[in-house]
Amino acid sequence: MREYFDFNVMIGKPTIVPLNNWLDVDRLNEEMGGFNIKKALVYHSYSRDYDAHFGNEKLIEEIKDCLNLYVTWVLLPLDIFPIDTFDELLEEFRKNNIKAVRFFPDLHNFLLEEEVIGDLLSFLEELKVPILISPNNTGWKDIYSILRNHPNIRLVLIDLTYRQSSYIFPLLKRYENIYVELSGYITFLGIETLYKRFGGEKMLFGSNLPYKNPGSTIYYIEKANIPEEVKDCIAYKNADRLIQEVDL
Amino acid sequence: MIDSHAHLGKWFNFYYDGGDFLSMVKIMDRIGMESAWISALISIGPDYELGNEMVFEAIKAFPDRFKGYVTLSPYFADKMEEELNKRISQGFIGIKLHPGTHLYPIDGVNYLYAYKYANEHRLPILIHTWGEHDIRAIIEVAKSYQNAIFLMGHSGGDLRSMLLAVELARDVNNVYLDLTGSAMYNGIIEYYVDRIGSERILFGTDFPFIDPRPSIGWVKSSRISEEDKLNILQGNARRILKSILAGHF
Repeated sequence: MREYFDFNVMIGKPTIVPLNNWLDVDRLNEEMGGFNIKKALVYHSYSRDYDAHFGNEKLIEEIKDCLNLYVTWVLLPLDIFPIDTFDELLEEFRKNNIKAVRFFPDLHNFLLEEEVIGDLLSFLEELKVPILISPNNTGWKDIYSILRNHPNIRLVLIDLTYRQSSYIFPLLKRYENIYVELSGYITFLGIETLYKRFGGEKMLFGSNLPYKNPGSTIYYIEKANIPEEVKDCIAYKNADRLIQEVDL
Repeated sequence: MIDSHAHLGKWFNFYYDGGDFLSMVKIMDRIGMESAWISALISIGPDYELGNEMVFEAIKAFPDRFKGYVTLSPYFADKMEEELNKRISQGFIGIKLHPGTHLYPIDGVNYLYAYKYANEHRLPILIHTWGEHDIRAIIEVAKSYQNAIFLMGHSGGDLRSMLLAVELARDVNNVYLDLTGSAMYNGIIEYYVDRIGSERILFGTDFPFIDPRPSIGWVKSSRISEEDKLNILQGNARRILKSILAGHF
């Protein structure tokens, strides 16, 4: 059974829980075990739905004993974040072994403009920290704009939809460090098309737990008409390499 | 596996590779999908007649792999009788309505002939539903035409509507809940089986509008019994098909 590295997981109770879909660390580990997901990059619901820094600290506390789980901090522009200098932020990143960050620009009411977030993006670019953004929580013009100013950031497009190839392809063609998390990118023959055009290094497995069943994306990868070694990269190796390359 | 909610062709505002029936058969072979019940995407867009003809071509080329829905437009209500007689005699198995793209209400008068026809011939009728209003409308229509089988496309689509759909469908036995949808909410299959049983839940993927594989993985990984999975993935569709071919439900 192939090993997986999940790049898109949330733990903690969110505000809206219609099907009781939320995970604590124990339940997450149980889910991961069922699908042979060996590692996961995790953020906390409180960071999204309550207070970014409060949730980030909660996350660190909750996963401190889990070596298979990696910290994703939800960040805000430093003007409105409790850690407001880059020296302090770097210290926190090192102390807490933060391996990725996530932005929710629309939800958290800030712009992905250079004046707002330019310095922070330069900081992340330098450290090779993967930045996770859903275009559905900002806009494609914003994504294009930050890449024009920061062409080397490691940008992971998450929670995509099947209607977005026209936005994704030009970015993959032009920029070296763009990655597509697959849980929402379920366009017809999407994996095969991305592989044919851009190779297998730009795709990452993500489950979008707790909102989606990991078996959905896993089946998509397992049944893709691509070489088995490329499936290994999509399932695990691409994500692992990205995490290893973070330079704190 | 039988996909009771599939399409054929291209869609106007996003890109995907393929979409013709050959590309569909190729992926069906790869994943072990026995057959797909299809309507052409151009049919739910600007040209229902051309789309129905495209479906007929697919059925002729692969009669065991494709079954056809006759798509109808509420804007050509006076042509429904002719189109239905023609296509049903060609072997189409049911009717498809898309009130969403046609911007026409499910309970609007221009659909009445389709409902009467499905009722008289005991046919399945797949109706796209999105939102609470559509759910309530299809339930009321289904109560009025009890010989027809109403396939509630997407079961209302958004999660809140999907939760309502199962409650309203419980006592209306000629309504089936369709799992087709891009969201594939974690836990909804388990919830449906718990609330209504697995015998009125149909598997569909919207393919090639979206890729069929994630939906299959979703059902196969759901926390329900193997028997329930079999009902959803093929048994229920097979039962409906058998009834159509036998001329009764």
